[in-house]
Amino acid sequence: MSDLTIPFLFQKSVALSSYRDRQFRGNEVEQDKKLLQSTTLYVGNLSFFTTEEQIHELFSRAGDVKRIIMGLDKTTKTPCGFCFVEYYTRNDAEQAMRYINQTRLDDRIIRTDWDAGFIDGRQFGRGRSGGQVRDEYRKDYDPGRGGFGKRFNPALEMEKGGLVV
Amino acid sequence: MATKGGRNRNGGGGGNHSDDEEDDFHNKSQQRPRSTSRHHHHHHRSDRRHVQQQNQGPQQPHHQQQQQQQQQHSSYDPNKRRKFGGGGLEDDELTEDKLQMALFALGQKSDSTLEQNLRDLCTTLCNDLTKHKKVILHILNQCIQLIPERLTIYSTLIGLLNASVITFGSDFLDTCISSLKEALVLYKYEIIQRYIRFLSDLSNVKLLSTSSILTLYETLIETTTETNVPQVRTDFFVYCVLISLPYSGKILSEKHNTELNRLLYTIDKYIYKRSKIHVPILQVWTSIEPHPQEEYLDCLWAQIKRLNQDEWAESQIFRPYYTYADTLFSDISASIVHDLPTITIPLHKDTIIYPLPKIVFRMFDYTDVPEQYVLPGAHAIERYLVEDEISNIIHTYHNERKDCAIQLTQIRPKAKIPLNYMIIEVIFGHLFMLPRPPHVELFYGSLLLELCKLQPSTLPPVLVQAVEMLFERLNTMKTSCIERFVTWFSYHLSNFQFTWGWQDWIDCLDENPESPKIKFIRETFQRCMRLSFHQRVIDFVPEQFYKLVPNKPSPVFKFEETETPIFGSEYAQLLNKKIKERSAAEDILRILNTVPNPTKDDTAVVTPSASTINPSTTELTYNMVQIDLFVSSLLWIGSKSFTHSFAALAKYHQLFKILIESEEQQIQVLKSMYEIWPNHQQMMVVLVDKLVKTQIVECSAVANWIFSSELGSELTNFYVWEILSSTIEKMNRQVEKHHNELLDLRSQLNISTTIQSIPSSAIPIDITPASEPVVTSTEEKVSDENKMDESETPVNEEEKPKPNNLKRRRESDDDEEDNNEEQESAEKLQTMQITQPPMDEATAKLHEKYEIVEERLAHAREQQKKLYLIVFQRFIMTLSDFLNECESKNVDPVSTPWLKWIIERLQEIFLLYHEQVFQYVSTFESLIFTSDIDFCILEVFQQFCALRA
Repeated sequence: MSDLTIPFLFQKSVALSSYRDRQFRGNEVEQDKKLLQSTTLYVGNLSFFTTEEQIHELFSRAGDVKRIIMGLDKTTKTPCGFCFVEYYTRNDAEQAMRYINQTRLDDRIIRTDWDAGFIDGRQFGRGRSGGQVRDEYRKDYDPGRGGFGKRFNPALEMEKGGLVV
Repeated sequence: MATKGGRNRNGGGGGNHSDDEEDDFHNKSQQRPRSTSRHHHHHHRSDRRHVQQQNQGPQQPHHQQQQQQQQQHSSYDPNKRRKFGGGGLEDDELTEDKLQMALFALGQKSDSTLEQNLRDLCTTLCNDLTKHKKVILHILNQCIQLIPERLTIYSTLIGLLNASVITFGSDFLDTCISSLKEALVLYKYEIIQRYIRFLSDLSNVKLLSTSSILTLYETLIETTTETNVPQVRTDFFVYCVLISLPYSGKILSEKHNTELNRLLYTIDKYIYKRSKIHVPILQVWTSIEPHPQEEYLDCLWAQIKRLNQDEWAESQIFRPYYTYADTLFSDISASIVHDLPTITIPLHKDTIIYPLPKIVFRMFDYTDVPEQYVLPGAHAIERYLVEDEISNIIHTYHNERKDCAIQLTQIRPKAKIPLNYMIIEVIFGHLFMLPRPPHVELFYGSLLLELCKLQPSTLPPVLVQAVEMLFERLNTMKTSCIERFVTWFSYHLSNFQFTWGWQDWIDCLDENPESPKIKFIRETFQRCMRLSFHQRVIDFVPEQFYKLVPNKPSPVFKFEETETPIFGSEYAQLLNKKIKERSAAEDILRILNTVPNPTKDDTAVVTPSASTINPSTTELTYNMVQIDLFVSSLLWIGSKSFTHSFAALAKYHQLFKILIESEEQQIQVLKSMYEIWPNHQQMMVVLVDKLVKTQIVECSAVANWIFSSELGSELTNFYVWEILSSTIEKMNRQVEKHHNELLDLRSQLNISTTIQSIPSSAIPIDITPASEPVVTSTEEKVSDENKMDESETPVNEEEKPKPNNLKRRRESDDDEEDNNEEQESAEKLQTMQITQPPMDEATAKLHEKYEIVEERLAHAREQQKKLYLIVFQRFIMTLSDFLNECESKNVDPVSTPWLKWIIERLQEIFLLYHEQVFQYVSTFESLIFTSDIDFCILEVFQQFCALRA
């Protein structure tokens, strides 16, 4: 079938989100332009135990994957719950945005977003403890992401009586 | 107005997506001519493009237009949304946006407000009509082309307008007819169908005369009298009439009963005499039990005949026009009834590709649904109408899975129709559709997830019931469909914590291990493991099923694992050490050179089409032991992950280029890989992909390896075919890439050759099916990075560099590809941007480039043809061997699962790549599918040929 689509419809899932990488080198117009032509996705909320193989299995269902870059904890060099998936074509990347975003991998609802393209160094977590910033002070216990937030002290909270696990 | 492209504005639909207002704000600079570059070919608003298309005629493939469009609007991006009403837009545009939103949204929510909405919209449009006539007519036409599921709502609106404004009807018809005529010339089948059905419905709102609808049908049906045209052509035009009759049958029978009956009689005669050879290859099941997989025209004709017997009374079509009887049908109505102008059907040409025939997928009947429901019978028109509405919604909303699910659940079927059963049936029908599903398989999986989320208590039970029924019918299900079933099911399970009542399938465990049910479970576990991990599968699988759980996907290093060291172990150890130390390629080569050359008898690898080694380079040829040692060690050291393996391949890419030359050597690489990774199917899939992309291994070597004796026992496993398909697809993409380049240059030459015109003989008319207007699948899009043609890397042709002056020219294959790409696009840019030098010089350069690309294309097509020849030849050899063996053992081959798995893979290759295979069909017919091969093989070929007959 030919690809007849209502124009106002086809953009919702592939539109840019409000997130912008603050360490992007360039102004916001350039950044947006890059994002709009990108074939690379940021994938978030992964379990620390999810492997490149699993990510490949899921994301190759949207199209031919060029490469996967696992996000690593900058001190331990172990996966810290995110990755970049690069496709050969924009169309395949859009399919992933449409059909994989907010579905499950390794029993977790994962999130995909456009990325301006991988540059070396971005595979490392930017939190002070080495992982992702979002895992620094996280208050819930998430066994897939190393338990409590690294800089969050459950024992201390417990004493205060403020924590319900 | 025409080039302002306002339809993308406020892309969120109703402005409900405010999350990117920020970036909207930053993109004022982009407010300039833009049109949706990906979908522009359906929106003929740009006058320039319009002219372009007319010039190009039906031969013009749309991707070329896309390329041009992208060049012209290189900074444009279709995904950029702008804030509605912001940024100093003119009033005109604002109105256009509002109108578009209102018209597209009309009837989107099925509620009681529709009646008032229609009246209000009619009033608004009447007021604006003089000022914005062109825009209004344009948007209305878009609605007809894009939203077929709401066609009666639009025909009502148009009927109301016709009753209110005296000139509207004829103006509207003019636009409609010119769009229809254009669609006919360009063979845009979907649009043609939608217009014919819509025009039919206009007779219900007194805009079109019933006699002219009848004349239109007669014109279409007249194609049945054409001689020497393919059946698929006539089928299409007859189908257009059949899908329209539920809308117009009633009114036609009231006014022109005799003529209508004459028309039906002609159709009946045509349906009766049609050939049905193509049916078996398209059917999802080889058995007609419990439901016949009917041919689509046969089924629809049976439904129409039944409808005719019922005097055209049906209760499914929503016909809002009856609500406005006062306005539309009373004697004082101002409606002018129009006649259609004469519409001519373009004559047949051999280059035109018509839609393939289809079969009707049915998996439920009335006994499968709960008692309070009544599922319309197979030949009830209601069954067709609901299915059609579901299909249309899926198609319209396929880019937004959540909206799609919402729209599906909003369908209001008449009286007791079990909507969820029908939705599930249609979705599986699309997923299993042969040759290919209409959309990417993943979409259907994600849509089913959304439907489960929307109706958590009502939909999952139906889906479970459907899976059980599909499982029970696996024995006769086509292999391609079983594979899609496995792929979807594993994905679905992984979204529901792999919860499934496996115990219910315990009975089948005693079956033949190659039987479809066992294979299905085994392959499902395999895919579940790929989505999770080995222990996870062990955890969710009941103990009785353990024997079907795949092995742990660990590598096997034969030089280490055997108790008594095998020949080469000491070299392997040394190589491992060196590779771990990231030694230079020279060092590795030095070690390999010390490996004693075993006698030829020890290593003779017989492959039927092993290429002959150039005698002059014989002394430089590396033997199989050396290659095996290198490849095994390298993959073993890189076995930690995909990334590690890829890095290892990239680091020693140059060494591969020195070691590997002949096909025999290439096959050895694959064999060594298989020996390391027999337990990790996914690893093999990605490694072969990488080896082909980096040109270490050619496509034909992969094909020969797959059919080699070493892989004989694996041939019924799905991953083998995953590898073959992906290899064939890379070959196809390569051809298509060159083809597109050529088309690109061709159009540039056309533009720049106002003085000099290139000889028409230089332009191949029938290059690939992509030159036909109907091939518009998104899968056809080319990946520029996928280079695997030797012509791109002259390294192959060069004399082998001596080990000591060996330089690492490539850090990684991807870099290499990128560099190539950049270089090439820079070249391209240069050739395009030349405006200063005299025209002849620029043109000469283009001509030069044209010739180079033409040569590359010819070479790639030669390779492609060779690949298909190898694949088909090896299929025939493998199948014939098996049949002979059966005969000698006195076994009925049809009773073996093996024959099913392999012969249906042959069918699959034909179907999946029908566009490519059809180009070489005469070669295949004269060279390999000859009368001396077994009929069960030849039959597949004949059914395939019938697809375009």
